[in-house]
Amino acid sequence: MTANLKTTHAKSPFPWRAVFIMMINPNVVLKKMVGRIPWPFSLAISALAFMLFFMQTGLDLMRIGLKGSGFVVLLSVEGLLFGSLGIALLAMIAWGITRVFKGNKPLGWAISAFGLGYCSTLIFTILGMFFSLLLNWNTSVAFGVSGVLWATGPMIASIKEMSRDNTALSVIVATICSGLLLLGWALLGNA
Amino acid sequence: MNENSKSYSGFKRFIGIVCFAIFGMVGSFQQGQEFNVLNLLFGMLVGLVFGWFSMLILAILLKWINPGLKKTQKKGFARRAVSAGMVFMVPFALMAFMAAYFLHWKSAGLFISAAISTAAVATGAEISRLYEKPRLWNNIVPSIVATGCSMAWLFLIVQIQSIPATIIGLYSLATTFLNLAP
Repeated sequence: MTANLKTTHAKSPFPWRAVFIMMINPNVVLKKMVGRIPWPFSLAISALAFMLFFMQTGLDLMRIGLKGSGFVVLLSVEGLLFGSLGIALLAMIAWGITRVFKGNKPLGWAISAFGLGYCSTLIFTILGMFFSLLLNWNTSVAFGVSGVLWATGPMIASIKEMSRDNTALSVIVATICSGLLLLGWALLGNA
Repeated sequence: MNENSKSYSGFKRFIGIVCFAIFGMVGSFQQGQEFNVLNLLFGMLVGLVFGWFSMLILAILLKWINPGLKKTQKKGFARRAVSAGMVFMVPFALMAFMAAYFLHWKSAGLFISAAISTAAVATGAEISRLYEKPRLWNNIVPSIVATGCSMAWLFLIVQIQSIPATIIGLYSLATTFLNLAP
């Protein structure tokens, strides 16, 4: 496993370039760039995206007087953990299943691809924070939920790449991962 | 089963249609009336018709913008690409179903917009695979169709929830009048 993780630590001069390309054409990033992007960088993206999403859920509840500021902080920390440890765990599950079916990508690649999949979520949630803080809008559904749903596409593409273009396997694994993601999100996001 | 075979393509199309039926069912979801048979059946019917129509429009447009492929590919290449793309709606259909029936979320209707967009992008990618050098239009056109379908769905979702109640109301009104008639 350590050897697998080390393979993705090769230096990449422009990891931010991959962030923007991932939103437009994930297949290009998955085929050519993910292997060169350190997986902690990719996980930082998903962690930040979920932290902002959960923070907006807390802010929405605080705005209508149901929760206090302490709850917002707690929810943000939960989002950070879910976006880092949760997404890494999800990538490990997908990697494990595809490995059984002769998948050839290293674990570090899988974690990096899953983390980078949340680039669009990050942009959605940054925009959501802007509208939430400056205009006092409730943004968790419009920006947060939409952002997380948009990340399912890159996740399917990642699994397809991991399973050597096996469409049926990638759809099945993506369905399992999506179900787990939704459950985790429901358990933590509604704490 | 060969991924390019006719029966496999038909299976994918069936999966896509089932996903649309689930989205219709989720669209008809109303708190306290989760298992109202009329609502569920009407929602599924709307989902099926909407899905069939969306897939047809996308296939016609893809065929229209790829005249070269008509000569080099087998008949029905656009329909096969659309069917292959629609399979990617399965994770969304599961999430939408779980969100509505297990988590009782009201915003489960949002899932279809993301599902249609993902399926459209996948359809574009399937068509692009038939070329040596991908063409931009094969990504743009499915995205435009997906945006149109998402907007149409947002409009339909309101109708799905109100039409069964309207039908029941009209039926009750009609029977009342008939009973009052001499």
